Amino acid sequence: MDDKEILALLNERSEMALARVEEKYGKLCYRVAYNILGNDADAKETVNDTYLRLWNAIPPAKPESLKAYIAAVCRRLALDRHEAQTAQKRGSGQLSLALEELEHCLPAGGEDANAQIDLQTVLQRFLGKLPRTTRDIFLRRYFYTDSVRDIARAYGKKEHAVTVLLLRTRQKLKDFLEKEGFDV
Amino acid sequence: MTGKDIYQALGDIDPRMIEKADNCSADDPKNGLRRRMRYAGGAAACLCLVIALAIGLSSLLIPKTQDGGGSDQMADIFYGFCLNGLQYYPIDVGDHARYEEVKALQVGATGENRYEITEAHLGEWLGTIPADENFGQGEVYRFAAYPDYDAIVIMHRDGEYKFYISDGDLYRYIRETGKSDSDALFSYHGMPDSITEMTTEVGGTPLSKESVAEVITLLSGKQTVEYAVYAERAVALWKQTYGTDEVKLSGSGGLDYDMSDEEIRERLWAMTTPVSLWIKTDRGFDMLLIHYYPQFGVFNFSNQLYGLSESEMQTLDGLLGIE
Repeated sequence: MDDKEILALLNERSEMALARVEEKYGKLCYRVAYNILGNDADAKETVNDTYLRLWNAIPPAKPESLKAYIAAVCRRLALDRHEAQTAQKRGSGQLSLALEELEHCLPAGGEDANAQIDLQTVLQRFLGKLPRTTRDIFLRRYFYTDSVRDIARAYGKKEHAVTVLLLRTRQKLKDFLEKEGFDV
Repeated sequence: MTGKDIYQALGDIDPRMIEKADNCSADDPKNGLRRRMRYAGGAAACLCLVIALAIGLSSLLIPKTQDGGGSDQMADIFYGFCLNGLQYYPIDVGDHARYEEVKALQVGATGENRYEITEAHLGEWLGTIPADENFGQGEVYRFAAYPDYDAIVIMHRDGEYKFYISDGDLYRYIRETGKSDSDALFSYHGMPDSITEMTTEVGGTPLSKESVAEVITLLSGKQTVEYAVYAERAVALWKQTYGTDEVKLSGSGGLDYDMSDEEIRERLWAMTTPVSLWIKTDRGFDMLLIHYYPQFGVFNFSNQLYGLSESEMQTLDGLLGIE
């Protein structure tokens, strides 16, 4: 079933829609949630929360891409859950590693100085300039929070090659952020 | 600002980017058919298929192309052009390894795709790419250093020279000619005669011309693998690898196990070691031809799994130097 049909079912408030969503995107959601949370039970709960959120959001929401939309919702919910958990303990998923890596993109001393700048717009522009493969790998790591190992597998590259590519891309991002006014 | 701010902001970027990043399918010509993406798609599809066959999860079967599909004009404009039936894309830093003459023209060592290309590097003129809303008209030439290659070209557009590469369009060829099974291996660009080199990561040394012909003959005309046969092999291999009966044949010919999908996926992956078979052709194409899974006796070609008999596996292992 294609996404248009699933969206139509959601708009009709047919419960079949959620079954189809689960069938088509259940594994994607689980992967996104598991990568962040690092455990099966929390990941499954987050996936269920994602379906509920989707059910409540559509209609009126009309996502351009159902896949991206559901992945983003699931990612946000997993992140919220991770935050709640880390109030007590540090999470064991890929998130901690990914966040540590991203810390290296931060321009020195730039904290809060340009908080008003739209980071999302700048990131969008940065990603738009990257070669396709580089951008996809960057997003696999920092949107889907996939492990370097899984990315290397999926792209037929060595882990070291992926690590180096991510390192260079983060450096580029740092430079880009500085140029965009995120410097001291 | 923290790393988390960046991470969170990435959650709100263009959904098309998010969607495409997770689509490493080899089968969609509009889906950024960079060489590595296609190989990645092939590898991912193959692994997904192997695992799916093993654990009987139909939803893990060959990754589908983008939902709703649709022409992505911007992606085409941004990433390349089509000429003489081949899709070309801007050269990637990783392609240096294949083209020493390209590497020699790189400017700096920063990893940027910038080259000192001049008129002197232009070979035979190949065609014109019409202007569009983003770019002026482009003229495409062969690279004089590789006068016979279609795989690497130079585009002169808007006062700049740029390298573009193509990896041939084996998959598109199969779609357009309607060829099925692995017979397509024999007819694409006159294989095996057009193959100038065939290598695997196992032996490292290129195979002899005779061995290349034998490999292609062996792989051609095969049928897609039967699930039951595959499941049987998976059970035997599991027993051999882990020494347990945790995975058994189910009554329906599938697999029966008592563990999470994640766990079985990981463990099945761990016991497979795909062998990639690479070829180079007389037109300069440098392609991944198949992934071969000696442990299972199957190979992946064009998003399909094909089975080999025991004797064929032994012959192929011998030709490829697999112990």
